Amino acid sequence: MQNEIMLGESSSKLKLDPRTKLWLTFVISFVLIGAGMSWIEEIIKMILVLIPATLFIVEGKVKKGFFYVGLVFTGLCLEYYILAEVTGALNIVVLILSGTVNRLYPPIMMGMYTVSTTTVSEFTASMEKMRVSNKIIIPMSVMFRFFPTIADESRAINNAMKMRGITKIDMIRSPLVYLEYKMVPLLMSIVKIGDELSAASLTKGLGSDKKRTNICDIGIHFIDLFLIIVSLSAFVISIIY
Amino acid sequence: MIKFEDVSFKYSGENNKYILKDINLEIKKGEIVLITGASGCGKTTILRLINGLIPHYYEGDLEGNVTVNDKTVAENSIYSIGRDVGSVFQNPRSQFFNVDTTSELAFSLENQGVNKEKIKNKISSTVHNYNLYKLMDRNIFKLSGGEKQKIACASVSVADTDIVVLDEPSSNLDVASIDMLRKVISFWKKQGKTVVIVEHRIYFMRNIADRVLIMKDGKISEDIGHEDLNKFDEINTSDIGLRTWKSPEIDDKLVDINYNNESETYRVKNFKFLYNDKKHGIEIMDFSLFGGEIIALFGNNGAGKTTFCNCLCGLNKKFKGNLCKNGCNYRNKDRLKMCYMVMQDVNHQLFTESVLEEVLLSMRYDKRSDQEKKKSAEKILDGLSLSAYKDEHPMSLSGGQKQRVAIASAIASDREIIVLDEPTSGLDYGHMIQVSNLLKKLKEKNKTVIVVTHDIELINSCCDRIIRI
Repeated sequence: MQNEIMLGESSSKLKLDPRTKLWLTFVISFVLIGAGMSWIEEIIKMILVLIPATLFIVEGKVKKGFFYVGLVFTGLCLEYYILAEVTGALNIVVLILSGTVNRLYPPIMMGMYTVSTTTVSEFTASMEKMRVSNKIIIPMSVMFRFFPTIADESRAINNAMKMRGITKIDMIRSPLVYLEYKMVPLLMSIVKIGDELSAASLTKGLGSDKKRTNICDIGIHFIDLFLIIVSLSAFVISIIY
Repeated sequence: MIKFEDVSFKYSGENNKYILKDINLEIKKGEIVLITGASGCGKTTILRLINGLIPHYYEGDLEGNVTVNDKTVAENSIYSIGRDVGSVFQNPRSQFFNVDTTSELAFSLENQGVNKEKIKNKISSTVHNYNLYKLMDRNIFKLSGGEKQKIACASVSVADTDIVVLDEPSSNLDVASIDMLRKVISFWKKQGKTVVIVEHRIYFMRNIADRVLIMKDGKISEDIGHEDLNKFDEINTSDIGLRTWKSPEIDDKLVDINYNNESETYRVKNFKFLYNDKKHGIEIMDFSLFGGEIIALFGNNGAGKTTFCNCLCGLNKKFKGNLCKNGCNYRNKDRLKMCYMVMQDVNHQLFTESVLEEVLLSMRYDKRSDQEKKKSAEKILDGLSLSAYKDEHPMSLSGGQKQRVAIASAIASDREIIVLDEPTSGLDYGHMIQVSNLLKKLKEKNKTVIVVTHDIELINSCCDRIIRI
């Protein structure tokens, strides 16, 4: 999953607007985590569960999509048929298991879809369309830029530590020293990279008072509209009930 | 086009040491100027004065006047200078703001608020000119060093500035990528751009550069114009402390590799490794290692040199290859205790608060008494002329000193095989020779030294044989 966050390339086939994806992530989390067990809510849940699955399948990740659907349906079956039959500790186990799968897994899948199909500049473009201030957009895009950097640096430092014979045992024996060994080189190199990155970005005109443009083609299309209407109705119905 | 009038500069925090002194310089439109000289001579500072990073980003005392396209740099914002001057930097890790290539190409023009269609047109013509089709919409973090530098040059081209400044762009590049860089610069020359490039490796600028400036202690000590550049061909550049001006060739006697030998110490076996995508990977023919020799591992950017190092040093858990000795197999875990790698970025491997502690850290599993350990650590530091710094914080040292500290810990760890990953990237002639001498010292201690490099001058100066991957 970490790798997917890093991916900058949007090879996405659907080209959903990032705003749609964010909205879907929000609705799916809100409805699934909060919903009760009446029949209409179950139908809403089913529909919402199928959205990320369909998106993954359209994206060509067929295996992932079906695995996820299978898992969630198993969870639902557990909740419906088994939960009422068992008692005591087993009941709690089944409850926790089905609850996690049904309620937490779909939002996670939707989040993964959003992150893995949105490039940083698409994200920036949509923030700009939502009229978010540059003071928030720039630090956020720098943050995205820094995730892979931190991962790279930290991997190299881990290797260096292994080579010096600094192991997990040291982490338990003297956690503070271990932390120092790890953090000092990491911070030093991130500060240095940050400094050079600011210099490079300034020469490319970042932060000038001119209004930025963005080459990303984002916008609400038919499919966005469709998904928004479906999820909005689900959202409204689940609030009323 | 670019004019320096009596320019002196001192970075704030560096007491009274002027990095530039009374520079007078005029660069004409369309001129390709190469600036070279030992580290710390002030060449990078000149570039920063042209692209406006001084005084707008790096602070200090600036005297005199720098004008670019008749604009005084100090009086104009860095953004307006940026419309005339494009910059390519040394470190491929830190010059990209975006995660994907296409956004990076668009970045400059987006910041200038140019309209979308115009940017797209510019990008597609640049992609065509540089043949970048394969690199579009890719994750920059997954490109090789050469590809990254190509994107950096291309993004300057998209912005289409009149002036381009490059700060040691070849530091991390292999021979093929340097050739690519040469082509890009000649392309700019044809387009009539003014190019100022700061470099240690100068050979690829031969026949392109119109003018070579050699700097020394903050002054331009020589200004060699077009007619005189022929004379430059005849002198031995190492006499004046510069790297070679003629394209370096690997010494013939090194190419003859003896793969099998009775007296081998170790045999490197089954070095095959596939990356997660199951398509790419490394495959290296079995070869022997002997004690007391320096082996150069030579290959292009992206050939898997770093992967090889990690595998050899036992850092790659999935790797199945072996190191053998008299029928004994050394697996990943064993090799982790036999090999020591001096990394390309030595900052990753300096952990403690003083140089002496750093060396002692390598001896922590050593059974000797603390007194003896300290004595032997001091001896090692002495041998690398680091005694004077033994109580300093390793992070406060210069790049070369840090590298020596890392080598000192390698010696202290008492491992048989020492691997160095690109120890001379971005080093001037003098420092390259220093590294070469250090390697020879390790060899005298009967270590097996494996140096991963694309620096042919380093290979010729100290290596015993070469393995191409």
